[in-house]
Amino acid sequence: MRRVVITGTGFYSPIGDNMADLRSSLEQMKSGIRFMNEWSGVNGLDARIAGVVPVSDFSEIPRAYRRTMDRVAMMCALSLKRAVAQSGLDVAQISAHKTGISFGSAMGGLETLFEYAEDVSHNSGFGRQNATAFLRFMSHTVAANLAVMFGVIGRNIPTSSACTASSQAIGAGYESIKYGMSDVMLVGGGEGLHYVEAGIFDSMGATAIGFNDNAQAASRPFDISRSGLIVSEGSGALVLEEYEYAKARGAVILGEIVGYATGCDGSHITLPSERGMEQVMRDALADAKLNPEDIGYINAHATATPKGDIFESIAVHHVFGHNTPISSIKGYTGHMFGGGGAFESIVSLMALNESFLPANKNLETIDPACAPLDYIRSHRETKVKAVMNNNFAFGGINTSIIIKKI
Amino acid sequence: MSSEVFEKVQEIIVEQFEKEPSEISMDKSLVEDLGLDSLDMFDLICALEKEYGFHFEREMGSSIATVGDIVGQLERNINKA
Repeated sequence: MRRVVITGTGFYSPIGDNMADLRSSLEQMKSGIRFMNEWSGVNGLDARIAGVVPVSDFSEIPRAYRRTMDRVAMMCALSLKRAVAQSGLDVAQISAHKTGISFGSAMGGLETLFEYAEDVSHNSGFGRQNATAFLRFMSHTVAANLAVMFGVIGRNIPTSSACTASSQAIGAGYESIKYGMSDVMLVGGGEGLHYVEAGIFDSMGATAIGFNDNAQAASRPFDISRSGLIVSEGSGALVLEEYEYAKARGAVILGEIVGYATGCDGSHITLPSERGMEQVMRDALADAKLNPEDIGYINAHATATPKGDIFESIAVHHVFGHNTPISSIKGYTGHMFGGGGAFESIVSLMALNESFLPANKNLETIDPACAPLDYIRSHRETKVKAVMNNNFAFGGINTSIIIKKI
Repeated sequence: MSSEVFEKVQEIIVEQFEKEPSEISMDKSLVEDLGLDSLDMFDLICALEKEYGFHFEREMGSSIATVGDIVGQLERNINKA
């Protein structure tokens, strides 16, 4: 059986774009969520706070590529550039027939789409629209643009399943290598922040209310006073390789993906199902040929919505009982949507390699409706052999990824 | 008028395609000298339409090869208006 290893990572997040800053934010329990002065002119928003990546200069990307990229693609492009640099893969290896790519986002280029729709509707009609607008907002803008920028000629699998977009991209990459279609897969995803997202989740009653003047305390996974998610942005990229391929070229191996599963609730478009969540975790464990007690840390999806956290905790309890340490890092970042799965997998990898288990930020009083679990209250220095990263999306789409030390 | 129109075209090309002003002269080919491709050409025409408020017919695009061709087209349209 072909084994799949990770040889590079890169990311942008509201709490750092490198491992040192990320770890420091997690240790100091600093959130990247802030009040959005930029949204002051927007009518009717309840949530006026968001997780923001404090980066606006993407001129490092040549204009020929940047012209068709929205913010989401640019964050993903530079994340992938760092991941590839860390992996040590050269141009010929990236452009080989058996190197592929899988990247996703929930929304595509939302900022461009919004501006385009506004301009068509209120100003120019279709007479004076840029030829590049669609290429910046189309749903597969990230995968398409990154393939062009990096010269990928192998398989290209764009994903767009909202909160599981980038975890499904990791899964697509893992399976492509495992089953022999690819030797290398460049995988990940992202999301660019726009107030439309805040408005969308406001409309569904899913955003946190009552915290506009206290952004640090706003995102509270598993806490009794949580009231919803905080929209945010960011990106994550990983280089996956077949183990023998990586070993033969002397690559530094950061971890091995030993298990992946994706499944669907098939029941309700927004309400998650503990049965579906439980099944995907069991399937990932079976794929990894591991038992629940082999997992030393679970990176939870937990977005701090009133119901989602409860269902997730119950599903975890069914599979693991109450002894496996668990935390959600959305208390620091908010919900990065399409970027969350990849970024949280990178955090899980950090937990594995640095023996550092991040705490649940803002978890003051555990909601008694949540199942009894080992919720991490302050970070731990604990050696673990394998970690699990879970993500769950609207439509009942579930993913579970297991990463192990090699 | 030619100098005024040229300066505006130069400004748009510099801003939109990240070129140096010194790279742009009337005889420069948009594709071969300045490296624009078909998408860039459409975006350039779009920017000029927004600046000058008139519509370039699609077939006009195929007759534009140099910076001077654009300046000439714009002057003819300005004179018509």
